[in-house]
Amino acid sequence: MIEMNNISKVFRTDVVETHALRAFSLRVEPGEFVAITGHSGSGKTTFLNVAGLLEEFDGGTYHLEGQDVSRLSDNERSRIRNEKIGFIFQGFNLIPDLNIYDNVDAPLHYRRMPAAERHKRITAALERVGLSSRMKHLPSQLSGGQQQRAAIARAICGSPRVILADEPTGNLDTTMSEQIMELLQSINAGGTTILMVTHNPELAQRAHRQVHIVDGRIDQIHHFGTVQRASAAAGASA
Amino acid sequence: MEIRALVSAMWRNRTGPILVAAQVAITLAVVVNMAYLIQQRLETAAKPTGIDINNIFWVHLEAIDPEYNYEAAVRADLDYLNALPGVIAAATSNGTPQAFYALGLPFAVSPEQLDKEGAHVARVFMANEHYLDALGLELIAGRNFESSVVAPPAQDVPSGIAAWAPEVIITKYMADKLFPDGNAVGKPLYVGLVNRSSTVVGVVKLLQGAPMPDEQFALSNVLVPMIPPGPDSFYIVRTEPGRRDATMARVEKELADRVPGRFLSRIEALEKTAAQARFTFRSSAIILSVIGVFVLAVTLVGITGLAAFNVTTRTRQLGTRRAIGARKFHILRYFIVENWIITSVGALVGCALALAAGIKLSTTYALPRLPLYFLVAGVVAIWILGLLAVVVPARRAASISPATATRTV
Ligand SMILES: Nc1ncnc2c1ncn2[C@@H]1O[C@H](COP(=O)(O)OP(=O)(O)OP(=O)(O)O)[C@@H](O)[C@H]1O
Ligand SMILES: [Mg+2]
Repeated sequence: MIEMNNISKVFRTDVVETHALRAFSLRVEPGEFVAITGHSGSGKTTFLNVAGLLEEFDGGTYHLEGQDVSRLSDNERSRIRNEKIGFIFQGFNLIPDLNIYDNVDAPLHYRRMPAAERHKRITAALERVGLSSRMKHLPSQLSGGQQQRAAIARAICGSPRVILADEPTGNLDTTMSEQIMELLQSINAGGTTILMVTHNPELAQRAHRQVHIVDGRIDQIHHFGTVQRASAAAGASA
Repeated sequence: MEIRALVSAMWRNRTGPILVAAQVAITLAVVVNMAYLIQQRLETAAKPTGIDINNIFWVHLEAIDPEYNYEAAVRADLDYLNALPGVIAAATSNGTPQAFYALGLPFAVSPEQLDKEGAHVARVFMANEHYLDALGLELIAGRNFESSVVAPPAQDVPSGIAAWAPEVIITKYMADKLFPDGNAVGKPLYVGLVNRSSTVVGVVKLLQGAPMPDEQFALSNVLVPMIPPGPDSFYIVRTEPGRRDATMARVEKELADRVPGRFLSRIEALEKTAAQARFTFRSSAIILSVIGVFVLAVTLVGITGLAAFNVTTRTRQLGTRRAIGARKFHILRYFIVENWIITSVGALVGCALALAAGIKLSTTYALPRLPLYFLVAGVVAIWILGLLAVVVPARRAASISPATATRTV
């Protein structure tokens, strides 16, 4: 699914060079739920951005579903983000001027999907996250947990192969965090690979694996479980 | 592209778009009418006059001696001027065309028409048998005045007008208006105020009295055969091409002293007089153009400002849109379409304003109505301007990194 070898990422400003990722190698199997942990500034978001093609990297190789993504054009990267990846952000990142329905629609219309198909997917996704009755609401009219669920609907409605979540529960209280975590686990149970950055050790332990990053390098990997689905398990090397 | 979603998002933050649309509307209304006024003025300034302007000068003499014999002096001066080498013709008159001097009277084909306010107001130029040649006017029907009908100078202008003359020459423009059947020569022409009639003996092809937007004022002119009242004399002299300046210099030196008791107060090329008459048109056209460009520039800044403001306030959502799959093209298109809707709404309202302003202007300044193609051109210009104004901010929006989505909280 995701195969990174020796990835390095350097941020250069006039005064400093920050090695956000160094010799970073990670292999994620299809259907895996991987939690990423580490201290602030350790490089978790940078890793997720590189994995999600939001940022380019400086060295190493990265294959996404077998495809080398290092030399793709901006348009091709946009297309892959749109079709294969779903994003969930700590700050929800819903578009404030669009209602929930239109927010979920956004990635689909960049894909030029027929209107009927879009409508089917949007209503299904909103039903899945329990927001069918809030379709015409603006993001500002929803609670944080509801907003994050809307964002999850947006992430899953395009049937992505992998979901990247950067501290999806970081802005939520325990109850809401639990709801979101359960939702993500059920999505993962459906076969979607999930990479989730979290500061919460309890949530991290509910993943199949926890990858702990220190200073741009993988420090430890804990295994808590294995992928249950037969097809995914067959591809797993560990 | 979901226009509906775009419009409803815009409607949620409508203050900025409404202000910019209003600015576009006012700009369109102002600029279209200004452009029309400018075009009218430049066109007026460039209209043909029917006069051989480049080879004509005029000279004005003032008498200071109470014993000065004006009538004898005029005859002597005209003999002298017409005999000068290089001179085609010299004539007396009460003033030169192309200046804004005006002696206007109402004319009509019958006394009834005069009474019923159907009179045609025209400018009167006193002329003699050399007048047509002295201005280079083209006679297209009838004949010139005989020297015998040219009335001697009257005591003053009112008594000269009161005496009037048995025959007149009119312009074709006036002939067409008063005698639509096409036969003016030989017909009587009634003069208001003095209640006389004269026979039209000739028609000149074109004589523009002064450069004015209104054709009726500019082209309705009547030549009446009389020496203007003294004691100051006024002559129009036309030379062969290239000999005007030399002749002017000679006349300036010799003319006044040929008869004692007077001095030459002014001598000027008609070219200069005509240019001065056009100066107000040209300079107001320039001023209007400058204002128009300024108004357009302000609107351009307004459009760019709104778009730039939107880019800044939407940075996070633009990054998010890019993250979830928008291409740069989608972002560019979003801003261009949004801006196009704003400018088009403004342009629509502006068209209504422009038409209203155009009607007001045309009735106030007796101008023809604002032609519709000015509006069409104005709308197209606003679209192009709007596109140019939004390009830079839209490109900035498209260049926002998708990583902004995870980096801004
Ligand atoms: N755009 C950038 N320019 C320069 N340095 C950057 C940039 N983005 C991140 N960094 C640096 O890269 C390093 C890794 O940052 P990153 O955001 O990946 O950390 P993180 O593990 O996500 O931290 P947090 O838990 O606080 O979100 C940090 O030292 C950070 O300062
Ligand atoms: Mg982070």
